[in-house]
Amino acid sequence: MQNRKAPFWRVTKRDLLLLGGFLLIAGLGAAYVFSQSHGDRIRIYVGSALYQEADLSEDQVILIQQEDGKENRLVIANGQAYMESANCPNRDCIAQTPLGGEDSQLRALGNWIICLPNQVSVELVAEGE
Amino acid sequence: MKAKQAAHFGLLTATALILGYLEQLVPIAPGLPGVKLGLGNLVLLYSLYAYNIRQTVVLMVLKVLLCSLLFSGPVALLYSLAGGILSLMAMVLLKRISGFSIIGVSAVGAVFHNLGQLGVAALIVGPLAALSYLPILMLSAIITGVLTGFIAGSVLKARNLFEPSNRK
Repeated sequence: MQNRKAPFWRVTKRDLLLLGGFLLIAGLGAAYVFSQSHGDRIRIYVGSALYQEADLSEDQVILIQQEDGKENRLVIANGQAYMESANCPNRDCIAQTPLGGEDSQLRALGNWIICLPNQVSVELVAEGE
Repeated sequence: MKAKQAAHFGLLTATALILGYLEQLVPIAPGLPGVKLGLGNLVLLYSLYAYNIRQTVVLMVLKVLLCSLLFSGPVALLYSLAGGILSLMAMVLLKRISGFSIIGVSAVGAVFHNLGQLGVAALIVGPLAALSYLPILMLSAIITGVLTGFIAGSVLKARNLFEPSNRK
């Protein structure tokens, strides 16, 4: 069978169409994410429930504590918000770039800092949104 | 023949675990869980083309269970399982449709793996936060999927050359 048909390791036209389709979806998604307004307020969620809102113009440290011991420390300084520490296993949220200011224009995660293990997410929103 | 197949299966399982371990050692995008090389899918692709669906399903479940037990921890289990199941289903379906090579199958597997993980993430932090993660996850899946597809294809090609009995 394989001798008559093109071998299965050779790229086909359909492969390219499929890849093009995927790229298109990724591109549209990226256009949507990057077109989101970059405001100067943040909303902190635990799970899908709103935990706290804060203004980026006010320097402060927000401790996000949960009953089961999960804890994240979010720092707001110089108009930016970033996760300073977290007791989750992978610390991805700490490695994510700060929200707010010029740095948040082309973040991979758009307007979000997300700590999946602790179910904490922080969203940058515009005033009055 | 049966003993040979059992030996091959053991080898594939071991290879999947080693690749899973290697992957942990080279984080390509710190801060972005799910953006990874997807080396483990090499083994599943190989198994899917060289053996059959049933064995590949068993291999996927073993890989997910053992990898989360050994390296990534129980938190990651749900993500890996959702990704693994969705990815394998998509690969099996696309492989049945004519006109797609192993590159397309691999890319589809990678994309759906990440979609599965994103689905679990959406359950945890809500759909909006998860959605903003879609573009980077898709893009990384397309790139790594094509790469692993090329590698798996080359390995299978070499295998066919060395074992003429495998050519039907």
